[in-house]
Amino acid sequence: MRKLIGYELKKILFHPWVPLLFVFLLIVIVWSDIQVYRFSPDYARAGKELYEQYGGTVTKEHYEAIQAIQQGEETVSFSYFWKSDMLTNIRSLVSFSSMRSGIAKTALENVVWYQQHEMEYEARLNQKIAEAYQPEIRVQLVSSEDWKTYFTDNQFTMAALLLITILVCTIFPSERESGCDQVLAASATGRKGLFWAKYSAAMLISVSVMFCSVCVNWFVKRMCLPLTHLEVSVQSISYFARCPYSLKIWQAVGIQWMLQCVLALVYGIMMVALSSFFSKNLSGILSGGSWYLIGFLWWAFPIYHSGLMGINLENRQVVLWIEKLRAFCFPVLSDPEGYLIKLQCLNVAGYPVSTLHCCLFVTGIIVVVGTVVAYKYYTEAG
Amino acid sequence: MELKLDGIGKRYGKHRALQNVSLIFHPGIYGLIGPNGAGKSTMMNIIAGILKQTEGKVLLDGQEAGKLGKRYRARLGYLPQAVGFYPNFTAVQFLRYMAQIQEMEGTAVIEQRISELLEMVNLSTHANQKIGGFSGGMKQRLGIAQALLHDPDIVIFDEPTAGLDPMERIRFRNLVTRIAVNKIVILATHIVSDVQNLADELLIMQKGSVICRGTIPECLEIVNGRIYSVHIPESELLTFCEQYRVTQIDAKGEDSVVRIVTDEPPKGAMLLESPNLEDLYLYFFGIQQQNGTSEEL
Repeated sequence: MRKLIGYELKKILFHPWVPLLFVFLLIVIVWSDIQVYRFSPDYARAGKELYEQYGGTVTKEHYEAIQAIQQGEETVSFSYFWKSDMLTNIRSLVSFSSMRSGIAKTALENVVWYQQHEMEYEARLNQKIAEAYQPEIRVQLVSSEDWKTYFTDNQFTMAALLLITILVCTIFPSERESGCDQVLAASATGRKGLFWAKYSAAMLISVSVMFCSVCVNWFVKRMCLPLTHLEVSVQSISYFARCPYSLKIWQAVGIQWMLQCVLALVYGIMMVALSSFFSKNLSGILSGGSWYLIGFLWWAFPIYHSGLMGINLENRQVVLWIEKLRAFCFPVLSDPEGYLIKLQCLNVAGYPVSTLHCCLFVTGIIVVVGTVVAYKYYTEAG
Repeated sequence: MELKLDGIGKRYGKHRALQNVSLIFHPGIYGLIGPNGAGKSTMMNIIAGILKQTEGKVLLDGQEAGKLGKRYRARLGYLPQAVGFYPNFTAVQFLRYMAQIQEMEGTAVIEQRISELLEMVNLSTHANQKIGGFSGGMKQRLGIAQALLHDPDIVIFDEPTAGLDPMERIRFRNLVTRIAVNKIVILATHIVSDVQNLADELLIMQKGSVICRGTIPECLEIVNGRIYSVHIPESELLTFCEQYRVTQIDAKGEDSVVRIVTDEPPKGAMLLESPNLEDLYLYFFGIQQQNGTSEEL
């Protein structure tokens, strides 16, 4: 079996299209990123100004100034839809921190709790801010410490997932198309043996690539100082608790669930489309196992999607385009002018609850259905 | 060794691709001929375990092939009709891979066997060339090599000589004759001359059933006395060809010598010929191929 897995790896890795397409996709990623930034406000410059303003050490005054920025309507999206890791400090204050809100509390619980204990909460908050005062800590390249960021918070993750897609998408259907599978099926190893060899090889590749991705992301994160001393999630919750949309928090969570489920499926369809580039036999692609293998890892994308969507929203043309699409798919969300506010609410209210669970839910279905279909497809005689 | 097909049938919905085929194979070379859609490949695939029959059993030495599983497949070598390869593998790499797939043991034994087979199929000089650059004939030869790699007891060749030039076809025939000792070799082909030169026994299939089985002389006996050579003037040739099943036309000046298969000899001068397999094939399938139906057979 070990040797068979080796041969399967060889078949995958020496496919002549693999390096070409991967390079092409990397170019597309970089190009799209450049385009996004080209149409976006110059955050790099804005961030630099902020950095100069608040650079060096963090003081209570600096922190309060950041808070003041958050209150301004203009800068809400600025702080919210930040992408660069260099500026994640701002984003962390407002958005990511909701994932770390309190001990064992979800953002939703915090909102409810805050509404019930507003006074007590404010006092506790002030105490936390005072405790957070660390004059010698330099605030730069600060990022969230959540484990999910190691899987999602880098363009390399996107490239890694694309690489996996490209590598494993032909592993099951290709032989059936070429006619080689008949020879293999009639061999001593048989269909079941081959299925597990292929499956193992694909999993090995997927895990290896994701491991590399995690290493890269970890390395990037190590360049940042964690924001552990500025535990201000409660502050961001209080901000959103004042937002009228937070009163409809269950509705917001529901919409977020639905949205993430659809997104997970959309990514699956994208994967199938990509696979079809290599494979003429659509049934082979759908049932061939690559569907499952990619689905297993695509759960990370909806998390990543929040950032991507945020960036796109900075570009008004893109916003309108997205809104048209959303108007078609989800009339309830079609509101270009009010969308930013809604999104903020969705992020805060739904982020810790929906994203992971939704993705696990959808991925779970894909895993079960994909494995059964792939196994039956590959192992049953006609 | 005995391979037995016991009432094998295969349905695709309402269509019956194979119906109630019962055959017993002992070591020897079996030629399987029949027109497209006769069920040859279906039968081959069922014997190879690629297709599952809807009725009947495949038995090897009295044990059901499906239950034998790996022990059955390990004794099987198979060359399908349209075999595909990995273009980025060399011929040697592919055969090494197949050796793993066939669970062969011993690196030295495998290498020795690969070397022998590449020599046998005349691919030694291309051993380290990528399969992507192979011609159709070279791929076919590599397919033959992989089928014989693990020295199987049952060898199934589906259209093995398709794409081979005359020299390679002769080489293939010699190879099969060499390896066929104590093996069951089943050859399905459209090229009847291959069968004529190789097969110990002939199986003729039509519409999912075996309609004729026997040694070649036994089968040829069916058309014995039905093969004639007739001299036909050029002007009458077309009309004549429409009336009879013609196996061969030799143009000689203004006349043509036409070889026909017929139950009722034509009037006039004619010569009774000894039959060959092409005559037999045409006897069974000539009208079917002409009219697209076998109703008149």
